[in-house]
Amino acid sequence: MKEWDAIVVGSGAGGGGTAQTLAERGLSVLVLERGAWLDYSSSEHRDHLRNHRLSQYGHSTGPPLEGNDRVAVDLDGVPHLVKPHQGGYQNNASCVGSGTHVYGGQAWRFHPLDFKMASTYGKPEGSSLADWPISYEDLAPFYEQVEHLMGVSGGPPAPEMPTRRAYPMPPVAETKKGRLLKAGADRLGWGTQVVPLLINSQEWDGRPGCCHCQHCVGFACPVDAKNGTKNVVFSKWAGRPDLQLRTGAHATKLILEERRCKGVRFLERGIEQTAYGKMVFVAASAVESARLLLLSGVESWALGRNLQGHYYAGNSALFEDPIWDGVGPGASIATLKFNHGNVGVIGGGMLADDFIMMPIVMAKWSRPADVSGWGKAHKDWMRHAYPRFINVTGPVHEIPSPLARVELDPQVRDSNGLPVARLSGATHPETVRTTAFMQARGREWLEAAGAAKIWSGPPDLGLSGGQHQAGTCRMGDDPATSVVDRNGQVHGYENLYIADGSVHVTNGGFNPVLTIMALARRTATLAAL
Amino acid sequence: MAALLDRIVPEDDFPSATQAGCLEFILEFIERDPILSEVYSAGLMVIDQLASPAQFVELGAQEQDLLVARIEGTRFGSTVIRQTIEGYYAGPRSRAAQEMVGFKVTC
Repeated sequence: MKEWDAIVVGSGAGGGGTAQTLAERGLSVLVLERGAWLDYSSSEHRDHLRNHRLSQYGHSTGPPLEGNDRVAVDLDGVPHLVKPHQGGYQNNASCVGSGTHVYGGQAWRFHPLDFKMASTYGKPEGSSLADWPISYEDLAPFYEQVEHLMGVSGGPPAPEMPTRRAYPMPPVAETKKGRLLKAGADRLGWGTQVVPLLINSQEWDGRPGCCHCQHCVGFACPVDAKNGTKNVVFSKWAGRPDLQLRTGAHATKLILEERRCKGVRFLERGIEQTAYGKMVFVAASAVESARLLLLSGVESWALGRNLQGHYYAGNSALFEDPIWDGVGPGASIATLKFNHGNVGVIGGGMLADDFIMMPIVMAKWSRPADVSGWGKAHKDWMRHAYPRFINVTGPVHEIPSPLARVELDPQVRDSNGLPVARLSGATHPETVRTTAFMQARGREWLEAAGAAKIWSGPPDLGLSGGQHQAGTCRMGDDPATSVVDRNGQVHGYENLYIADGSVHVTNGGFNPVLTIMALARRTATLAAL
Repeated sequence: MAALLDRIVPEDDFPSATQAGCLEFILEFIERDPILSEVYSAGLMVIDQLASPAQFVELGAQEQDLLVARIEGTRFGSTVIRQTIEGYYAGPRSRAAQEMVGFKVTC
């Protein structure tokens, strides 16, 4: 019976980063990934209707649409059966690299105050707002390591952030809309910075620079200029006996005895197998990591609670003259002025221009109420508006609710016969208030940049998760209110760790992937000591 | 059906819906989905009933637009509008998107 030094469940930002950290230290590592090894051509190419930005008829990765249902309970308490490409599923890519295969790759560090939300703002009634048990300073060395190991491009940080070592690559190409927004921010006296990206601005690590094709978010990169765990970790370690990646290997149960996790049971192409390890790291994303712990019989009040992702404070705007230059990636300029210190609301978030918009996404999501959805008027609007369009948006730091939950559904089972995830609850209402505040700031920015027309819809109370899903295995010192300790170790189990966004106490006012990577690196580093 | 699609995305100096391949795009869905097929065939009958004594295809553009406006909020109306726009502006499985009509039209 082979015993691995470590078994890692999941190969995304958290799992891939964990495997990399452990393998670097000479440990033998088995990675179980339920999805397949995908490349550009096996990820639906550029299908604008089947991708991770618009999954109208499917998406560009796993899981398959059949046999992987979830149950989403709406705010009236009514359960709905949902498939992976449908709203309410809170999908994250299931393939080698997971979200890093199809992400836009925004590489933000969280703000120092993002780790101290409760002590900065107080805890709103009904929320589970809390401080992290670790600080920005604890994570900073690991942020720096992943910025240089994974490959980030960008410039110096905004004035609101601590100084840091320069990134290994300069910023990607500037866009016309980025220059307009920079001028607008300068007029307002707002500090800005280039959006840091896990995208090559020049040849790096043996792969080319960005080809500016505009299709970053939701799609695989046609020239492999996007840095994720598939190319940076698994391609490089392929064939080495000390790091084995098994695809199509779906973890079904952790083997728990006394205070230890002895191994993982998994299904590989329908055949049940068992792997044994000295340490086990779960990084299957916030919904599936919580589900695996629940299926394995881990008992914790906090397990599955505090599910959160991000609300987005978006505004659509039209300018008088065409501003479209077709230059990707498109997310180019951000302000961090409103992440904290806002009067009358809790927290805030980063605002930036968005990745370049697909025409169908503009037609579906950004048509103002006074424009017809069809006919000559619609076509005229599409043709006039598209080259004059800017979307400014950004993730709002969610105020978590313990009632936003992942549980096991009592009835519905997946194709392996296991209970599926049942998602219920909503974010705390304070999140909605902060989102409305941030929308107003985005409006100010667009006005200062010279927008002729600005529109947006008001935010509604709901559950968020999706590719930014977090919180369901919260980190904390008190086992009564958290699932893992400050080092990522599950309370009560001396060799079981969670190494994905599930452990986030709160999810920051930023895209969370760099934090997931840095935290996984810290957890694996401490576990391997 | 072709006449209806070409009111949803009419021709200007760029192709209309059917010229860009939207009919084939929608027919592919209909062939695979009996429920959708039923929605389309029932809807096309209704729009011809509304047009009677003429048929929808025989009406002028303005009269056709009035009828499209009348069915806009129905299940059929919202489906055919959504799928025509999808076929026109998106998806490499439609001829329109293979030729990147979505980007050419808007840029």
